[in-house]
Amino acid sequence: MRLPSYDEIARVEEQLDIWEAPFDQSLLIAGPPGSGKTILAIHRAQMIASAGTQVVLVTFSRMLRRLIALLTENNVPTFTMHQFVGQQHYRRKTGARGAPEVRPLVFDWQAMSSELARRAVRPEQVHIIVDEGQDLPAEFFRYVRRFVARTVTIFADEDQALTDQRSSLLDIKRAACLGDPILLSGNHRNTPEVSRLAEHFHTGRLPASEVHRSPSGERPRITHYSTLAAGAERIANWFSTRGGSVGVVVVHNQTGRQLQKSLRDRLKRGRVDMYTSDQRNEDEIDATTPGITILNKESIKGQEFDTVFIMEVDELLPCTKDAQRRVMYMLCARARDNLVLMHPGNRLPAEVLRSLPGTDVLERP
Amino acid sequence: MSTPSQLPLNVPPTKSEGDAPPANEATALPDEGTDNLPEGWLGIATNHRRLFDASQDGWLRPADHTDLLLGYESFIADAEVPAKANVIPVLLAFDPRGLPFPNARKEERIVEVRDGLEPLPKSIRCTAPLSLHAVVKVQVPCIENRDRLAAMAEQLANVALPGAGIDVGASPVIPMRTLPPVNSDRPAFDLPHNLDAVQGAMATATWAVPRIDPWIDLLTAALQGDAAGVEGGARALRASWLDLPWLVGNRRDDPVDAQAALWRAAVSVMRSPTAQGNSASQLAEKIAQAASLSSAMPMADAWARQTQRLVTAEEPLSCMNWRERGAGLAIQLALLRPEPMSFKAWSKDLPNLPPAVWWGAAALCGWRHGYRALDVRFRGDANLQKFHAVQALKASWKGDVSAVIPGDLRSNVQRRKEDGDCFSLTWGGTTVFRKPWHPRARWFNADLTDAAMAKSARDLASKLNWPCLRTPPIGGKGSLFVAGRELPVDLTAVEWLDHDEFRRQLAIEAGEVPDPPRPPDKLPGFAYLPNFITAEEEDELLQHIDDAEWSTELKRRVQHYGWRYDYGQRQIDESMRLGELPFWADKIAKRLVAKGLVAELPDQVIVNEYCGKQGISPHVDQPKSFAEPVATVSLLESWGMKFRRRGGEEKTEKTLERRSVAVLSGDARYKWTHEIPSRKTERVDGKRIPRERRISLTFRKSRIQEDATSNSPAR
Repeated sequence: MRLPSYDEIARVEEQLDIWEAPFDQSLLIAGPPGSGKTILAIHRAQMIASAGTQVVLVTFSRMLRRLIALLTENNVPTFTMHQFVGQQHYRRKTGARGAPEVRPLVFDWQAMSSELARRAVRPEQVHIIVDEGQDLPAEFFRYVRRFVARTVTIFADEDQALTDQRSSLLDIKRAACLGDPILLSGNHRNTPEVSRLAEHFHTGRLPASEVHRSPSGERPRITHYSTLAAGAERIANWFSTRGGSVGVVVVHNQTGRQLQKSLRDRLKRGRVDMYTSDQRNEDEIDATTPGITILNKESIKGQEFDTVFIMEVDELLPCTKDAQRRVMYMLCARARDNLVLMHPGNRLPAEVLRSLPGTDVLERP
Repeated sequence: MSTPSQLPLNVPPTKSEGDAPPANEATALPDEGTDNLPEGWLGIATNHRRLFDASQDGWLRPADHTDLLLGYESFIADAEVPAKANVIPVLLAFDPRGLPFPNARKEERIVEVRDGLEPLPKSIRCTAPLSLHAVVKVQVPCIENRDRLAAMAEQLANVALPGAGIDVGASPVIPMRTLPPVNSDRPAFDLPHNLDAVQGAMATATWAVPRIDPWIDLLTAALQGDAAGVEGGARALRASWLDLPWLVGNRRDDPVDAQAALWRAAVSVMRSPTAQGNSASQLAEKIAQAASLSSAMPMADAWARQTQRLVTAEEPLSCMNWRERGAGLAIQLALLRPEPMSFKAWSKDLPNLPPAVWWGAAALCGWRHGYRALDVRFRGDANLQKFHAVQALKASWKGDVSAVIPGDLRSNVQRRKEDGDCFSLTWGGTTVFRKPWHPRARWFNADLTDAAMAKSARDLASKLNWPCLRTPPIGGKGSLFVAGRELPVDLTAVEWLDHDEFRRQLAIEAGEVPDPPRPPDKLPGFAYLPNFITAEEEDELLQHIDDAEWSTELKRRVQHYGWRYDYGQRQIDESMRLGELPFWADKIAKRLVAKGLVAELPDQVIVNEYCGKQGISPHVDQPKSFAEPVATVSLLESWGMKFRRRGGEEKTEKTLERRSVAVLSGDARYKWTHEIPSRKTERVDGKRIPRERRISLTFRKSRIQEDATSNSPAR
C-alpha cells in the first residue's frame, strides 16, 4: 500500500495524535468519509503488530475486509464481525454448534455473554481495531471489552451507517467504555480539483469538508464517446500512459460487460475486472494493484481509485432531484487524482453543459 | 552505517584551554547512557516529531528564530518540545567531525548565560542545520518508546531513521535557556534552495541507472559534477540532449539542438515556483514556450500539441523514432507519471524503453518530486543516502565548497567491478551502491573473440535488427591471380559482427535483451537432485529432528548420529561410535545408495540448524575421517552454497533447494572449499527473501570403520 510521508501525517493535528497514541491505549475516532479512517486503522494495526503485540482488525462488510487484507498483505488478521464472533465462539467452545443467533445473522449476545460470564472468561492481551464501527451493534463492543480484548481502537462514522443494527457514537462510547471521540475532519482523499466538482453536487445541511491535499492542476473533464469501442479506446490509452488504479462506473451491468471485453482486447498488460455485488466475486479482484476495475454505481460505494471514469452520464445528468445529486456526489468523490465524465453520443447536449460548472472547474473538449 | 570509526576526521574537536569542566559534568553523565561515543560529541535532547521531520531529508533545522544549542558531551533541551503526553523524548549525539557547515559553529564554542541560574555547561551554538548522517547515537527512555518509534517509522514512506540504531536508557538533560541574540557579523548558513531537487534527482538517477558500463560511467561523472564528462558521454551514447538536471543550471553554451533546448526548458520549468500545482498540459505548454525562446522552433509547438493529446488519452504513448525525439519522449514520461512510485511502473508497462529515455525521465521525475518526499525505497542504504547528501550539497552550493563540506567528504566516487554479477560504486573506501549487471552489460563485457559467444551475439544482433552486421564487399565465383597464377575461387559472403557497433547498440538501443549463454559448469564432481525427498518426508524428518536433543557446542545447533565428530580435533576415532543410524536417517542413506549417488552406505549423519544469518565458513570435509562422497539434504528453505577453488580466485554458488540433495565428490569434494555464506537474505527467482531456518542433513561414510573392521574382524 502507499505509505504516507511524515509531512502528510503531521499536517493534521488529530491525525498525528492518533498516529502517536501508545499501542496499549484505547481510542474512539469519528470522521466523515474520506477523512482517512481506514488507512489510519491499517497503520495503527501494522504498527502494533510490528511492535510484537497481537492485533486483529474487524470490519462490517466483506468488501472492506477484503480491501484491508490486500492492503496489509495479510500481515494482520482481518475479519468481518460475523467471522470474528464465530471464530471466538469456536475457540472458546462455548457451544456445540455455531454462535447462537436470535435470527439469521443476528447474534444472541445475551446467551453468549451469560455463558462467558459463567465461565469467568477475562479479556486477553490483544488489541482489537474496528473500522466501520457505526455498522456494528453496541452489544458487540460490550462483548469485546468484557470478554475478548483489553485494548480497542474503534473508527466510526455516525452519518454513514448502513444497517438496522447500527450504533451511534454515544452507543459505542458507552458500550466500549471509551473516552470522548477524537474527531477527524477534512478530506484526505480527493485533490481540490476533484473535490470542487463533487461539491457542485453536494446536498445536505453540513458543509463539504475541507480538502487537505495540495492542488494538482488536473481538472476533471467531460467528454463524449461516439461508440462504446471509442470510449474503451480512451480508457485503454489512459491506463497505458498513466497506470495506477482506474475505476470505471457504469449504469448498466450489460455496458460493463461489453466494456470489459473491449478493454481486454485492447490491453496487452494489466488487469481488467468487473465487480458486481450479485456475483460476490470480491475475492478475485485486487483493486489495490494497478489495473481497471469496472463497477456499477451501487457497488462502487466506499471504494476509491486514482482515476475514475463515469460512463453513461446521459443517464445521470442533468441532476434535477437531490437523490440524483447525491449519486453524482458519491461517484465523483471516488476519484483520488483524476475524474472523467463520459457522455455517449457525438456531442455534449447543451442542457447537460448548462447544468454543470464552468471550465474553471470542469474541462470540456 | 556511520560508525564513529568510519566518520572522516576533519575538524578535531577543540578542547577549550584551561577551562575547567562544569562541576556537575562528571556526576551528570552516568556511564550507561553515554558509552560508545567518540570524544567530543555534541548532544541535543529533542523529541520524535523533530526527529521524524528531520529524517525526511536528513537535516535537523533550528526551530523558528533560534539557533541549535548543542551540549559538549551533554544533552541540552531543544527549543521546541510539544507538551503532549505521547511525544517520545529523543536524545541525539552528533560527531562534529562528520558535520557539514564547520564554519557555522566555529565562532562560538561556549555560551554563557548570566541569568542567575546554574551555568550552562560547555556548549556549541550552531546557525546551520545539522546533518543526521553525523548522528552516532539515538536514545529514548524506555523499550516501549523504542518499539513505538521504530513501528511508526516503518509506516512512513519517506523516513529513514539514522543508521546508528536506537538505544534505550536515561541521561540527564540540561534545560534550554533563552540565549542572547546572535552575533550579527556572523554569516547565517542555510541549505541551498534547490538542494532538495538536486538530491531527489541524484537519488532517482542512481536508482534508475541503466546497469551497463557507459551509463554507470556517465552517472559517476554526473554525481561528481564533471560537466564536460557528461557532455562527452551523452554524445557518445547518441543522446546529446541528455544532461543531468543539477548540471543544467551551470551550462553557459547554447543547446546543441532542438531536443537539447526542450530538455533544458523542462529542467528549468519543472522547478520554477510559478509551475507549482500546474497540470501536465500546462507544464507542457510552458516547456514548449521556454524552449522556443532559446531557438525558434515549430518542433516545440508540435511536441506540446502531441503531449496534450497524450494527456487527454486521445492517443497512446509510443517509442517509435525515439532517436529524433528522445528528450520530448523522456519529458512526456515524467509528465504523465510524476509520482516516482508510478514512474517506476514504466519499466513494466514499456519494457523496451531506450536507456537514454528511461534514465533521463527518471532523473527529471526525482528533480521535480524532490528528496524530502521521496520514498525510502529510491534512496538506497545509509551509505548511499549520506553520499547523495554530500554530493547534492556540493552541487547546489554556490560559494566555496570547502566552507561547507569537510575535506574527507570530498573524495571522488569510483566504479568497481565486483566478483560475480555485480558492480559497485565506492566513495572514500565505502561501498555506497551495489547492483547486479543488466544482461546487456554481460554481453557488453563478453569475450566476442570466443566463437560460440560471437555466434550468439550475431544471432542477437540480427534478431533485434541492429546495424552491426557487416558483409564483405566481394563474394561469388571467380578467379584470383596470385603471383601470375590463376586460382579459381568460390567465396560465400559471411556476415561478421562489428564489435564496437554491437557494444554501442547494447548501450543505446531499445529491445529486449536476454542473458548471454553462460560458460560451461566449472564445478566438476558436484551432483544435484531436486526433490530428493517428498514434502511429507520432510515433515516427518523435521519431527524426528525437533524431538531429539540438540548439541549447543557450536554457535549453530547440531545433532550427531552414527559417529560423533570432534570439532576441535577435527576427526573421529573408534571411541566416538554412537551406534546405528536411526531408522529415519537410515531410510534416506539407503536411498542415496539406491539412486547411485553414493557407493557405500553412509554411517554418519550430522544435522545442522542454520537460523537467520548463521552460516558455515569455507571448509573441506575431513578427507582423513570420511570417505569420498558427501551428501547433503536440505530442509525448510533454499539457501545458496558457495564454492571456492583452493588456492585460486574462482568461485561459484549453487542453490541447495529445499528437499534437494547435493553430493560432493572429485574436485568439488577436494579441490574446492564449500561454505554457507553468512547473510540475511537469499535470492529466489530474483527476489530477496529473508532467511529464517534451514536444516541440513549431511551423510558421510567414516573411514575408521573400514580400518576398525580390518584390524579386528571380531568386532
